[in-house]
Amino acid sequence: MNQKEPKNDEDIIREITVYEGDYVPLDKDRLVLFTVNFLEERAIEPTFDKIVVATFRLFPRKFSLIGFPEYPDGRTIYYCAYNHCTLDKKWLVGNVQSAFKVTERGKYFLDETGKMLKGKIQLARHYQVSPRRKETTFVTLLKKTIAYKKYVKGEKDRIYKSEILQALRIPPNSKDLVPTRLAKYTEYAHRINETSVLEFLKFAQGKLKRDTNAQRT
Amino acid sequence: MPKERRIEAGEIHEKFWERTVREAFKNDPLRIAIELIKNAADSYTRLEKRGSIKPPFEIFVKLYCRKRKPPSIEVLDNAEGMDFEKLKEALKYGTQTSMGEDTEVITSAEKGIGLKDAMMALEKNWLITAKDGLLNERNKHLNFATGIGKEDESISEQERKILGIKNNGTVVKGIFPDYLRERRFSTICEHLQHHFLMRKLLENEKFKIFAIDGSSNERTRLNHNPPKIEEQILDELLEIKYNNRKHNIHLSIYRGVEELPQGKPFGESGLLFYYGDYTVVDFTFCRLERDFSFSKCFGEVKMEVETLIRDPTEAPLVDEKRRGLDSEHPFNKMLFDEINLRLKEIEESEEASKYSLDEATKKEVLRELNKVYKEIKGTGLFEPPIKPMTYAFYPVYVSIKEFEPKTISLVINSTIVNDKFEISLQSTNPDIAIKKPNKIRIKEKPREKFLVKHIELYSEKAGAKGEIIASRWPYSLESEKMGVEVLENPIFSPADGFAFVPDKTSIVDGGTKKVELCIKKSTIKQYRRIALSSSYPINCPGEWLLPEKQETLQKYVVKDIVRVELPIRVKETGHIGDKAIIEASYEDRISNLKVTVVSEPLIAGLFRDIRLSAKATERICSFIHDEAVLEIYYKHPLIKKYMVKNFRRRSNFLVFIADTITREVLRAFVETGVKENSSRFPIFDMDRPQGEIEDHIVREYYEQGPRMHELFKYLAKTFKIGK
Repeated sequence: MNQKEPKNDEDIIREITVYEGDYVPLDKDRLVLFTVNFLEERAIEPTFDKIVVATFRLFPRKFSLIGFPEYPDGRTIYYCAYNHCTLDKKWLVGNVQSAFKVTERGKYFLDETGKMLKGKIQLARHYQVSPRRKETTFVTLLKKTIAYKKYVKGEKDRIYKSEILQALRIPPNSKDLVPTRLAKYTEYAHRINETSVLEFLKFAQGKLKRDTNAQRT
Repeated sequence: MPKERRIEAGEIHEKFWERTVREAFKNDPLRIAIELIKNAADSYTRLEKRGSIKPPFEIFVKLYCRKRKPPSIEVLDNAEGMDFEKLKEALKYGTQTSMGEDTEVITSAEKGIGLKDAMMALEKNWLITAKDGLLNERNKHLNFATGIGKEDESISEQERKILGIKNNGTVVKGIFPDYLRERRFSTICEHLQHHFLMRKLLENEKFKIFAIDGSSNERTRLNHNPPKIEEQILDELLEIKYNNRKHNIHLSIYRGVEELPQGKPFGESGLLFYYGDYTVVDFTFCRLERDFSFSKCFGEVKMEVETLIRDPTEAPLVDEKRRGLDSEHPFNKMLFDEINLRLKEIEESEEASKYSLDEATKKEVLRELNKVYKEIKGTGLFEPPIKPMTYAFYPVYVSIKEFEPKTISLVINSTIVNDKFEISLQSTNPDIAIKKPNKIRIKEKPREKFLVKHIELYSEKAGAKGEIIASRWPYSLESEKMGVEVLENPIFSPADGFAFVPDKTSIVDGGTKKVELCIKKSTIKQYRRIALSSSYPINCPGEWLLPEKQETLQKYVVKDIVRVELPIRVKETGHIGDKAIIEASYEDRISNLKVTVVSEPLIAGLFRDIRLSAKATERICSFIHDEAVLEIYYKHPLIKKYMVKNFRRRSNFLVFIADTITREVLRAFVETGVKENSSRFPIFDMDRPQGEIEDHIVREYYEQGPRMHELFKYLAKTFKIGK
């Protein structure tokens, strides 16, 4: 009789599915803390690599690389697990060499995190989904510009060319930068899946073209 | 060549003279009175030179003041008086007859202002003069015609009494033009006393000048008291060689005790240029005019230039409009160069202690600046932490120190608050106490969506652990908890039962502080004296006596420890980096405290100091990154432009300074932020960041500008001379 071999930790982790609740508003430190406990509960030693994969599998939207959603953002997870949760907040003990463990203090925050994931407590501050890399930073800045705000409000006719140039961070006398900037922003918006920004960029491109043609005629 | 057949009289329109006179006096109409007073003084001087009179010489200035109209004036002297011929000559335009201090000196009329101009400036003017028993009266019309009253008529005693002329003498009278703004007797007197042209005359003890209020006959002697001298900075005799002649110039400069007003005609800070005994020609600091660095300085330049003035072929030293010494005149140029050279030397030697800002205000501003920088380059604004559906603790776990209370919060969602809302709080460990409150009651429905209630926790037992439970029982079974741990307080475990806690400390150079000596109560016996000794540069009391009575001692006891606070101080300043030891001994127990003298530790961050600098730069202020110092260059022409009288209270100075510093500070914020890779200042094009840096500065200017302006206006108000 063939006795099934017990699954190893890696297999269990590979089978982890995405957490079903709304985890996006939470900060990444709490999600890492949750993951460490998640592994402990399943009798899996929370070593760093296991934490990376498990965190990514549970919360892929918060821990994937920009442009590569199929890969975990190990750098962010490291910062959360060691620098923040262990050294600063003391929710965990351990390090990359010794693996991690939830502390007594951490259990209270874990409990709180559980309530947050269930929606019983909301965090006043909204944490962004994508890691703070160049793409997110500049697309976020673009979303704060007058041109973009007017676009979102549906006031397309009231957007001036100068406002679009400002949104694309193009100095007034450097119109030659328009194609490269548009291409870059489009690339960034694609990577972080900002559809509304992509639409805006398409509109901006059209408007700039129209204005240039009108000037020529 | 045509032959001249007849001569037609020159035509002069009244308007021309009106304009000329107005031009001569419009900026300073008090010069009309001063000209008349000086003429009287000159007349006395001539008499004295001839040996016919001895001081004191009295001059009377009678003023009839009216509320809405300009006052009238009478200037009386009992000096030479004038006979018919001299009077006729004196009132002719372009006359060589001197009305000056020296008979040989060319009349000032040639330079635009003189007796005739002064008379023509006065409405209904009359010159009445008595000499050798004969009275002559004349006036001047605006078309320069001379009106004639009595001519060589014998003067009666009655007339002498009315005029106030005892023997020989002159009275000039008339009504001031309407551009003299002063209307009150006291104001006119005050202005005459402070006028630079009057200064030498009023300081001259030979002359007694009285102002008389025409309406009350109140008599006031006009005086000028020079500013209080702190020190004489310069006393030098210069020689200016001009046209093969040497002219002696005696230059004296003093530093006053306090800041002095600058500028003509009433300023005190400047150099008074004069010749003879009292003939003032200018009041200036040459090319360093209105330089704030000289605002405590004043002085005199006595010029032996009579020969130069007497020379009819020489251009006048005083400029045509009589504003002062003509800076284009070659003699004056040489004089100014020499004086400036010395002024520069003085300025440089005194530079180090020249200006300062109020230390306390400066530190306050620096702290605020660093706070703002930290705030804007940091992660952003602090927001309300959590929004629970019901209520929750924030934070959910806390570490407290034994014997030190700590406050935590309970955030309550106001939607659950009803009429009899009550939350009871309980500690699971009796060693951890909820000091206040034990129950949270809310009587009225709150307006806010979330309420934050503060709870104070306290424990005297290190190592205790427990939970605080908040529940609405019996109304609801739901409860919230938070974890608490009590950490050991180091003051309760002094080494050997007698120790300074902590055993190392730092103290600010020149500062004072209190250090804590902790003694286990059980170690205290009958002996009351704690002996103390310290090494240089720290000073502390030589001993400390423990209270005799147990009740008094009990006041110092916490748990089983007696806490003694000992004052220590650094002797003087200049000991940064020095280390010292304070030794405390009680019976056979000894404890040492290591003390390090440090510089002011409070200012940490991007800005460590704000310094006023005398450097001549094109910038008004600049941030020195390496030193973390903001330098303000007070010699910049634009700063000097605004640093005029009472500048600290002038909004144009304050706004200008505040705005300039704000821009520089924000530039420093952004440039440093970019250097430190602050996420507040992202750069798209790392190869060409300058344009984006400028954009960030503009954005920060709009966001932080108003706050910064207030801060720097507050600082600019403390700009002062000296340390």
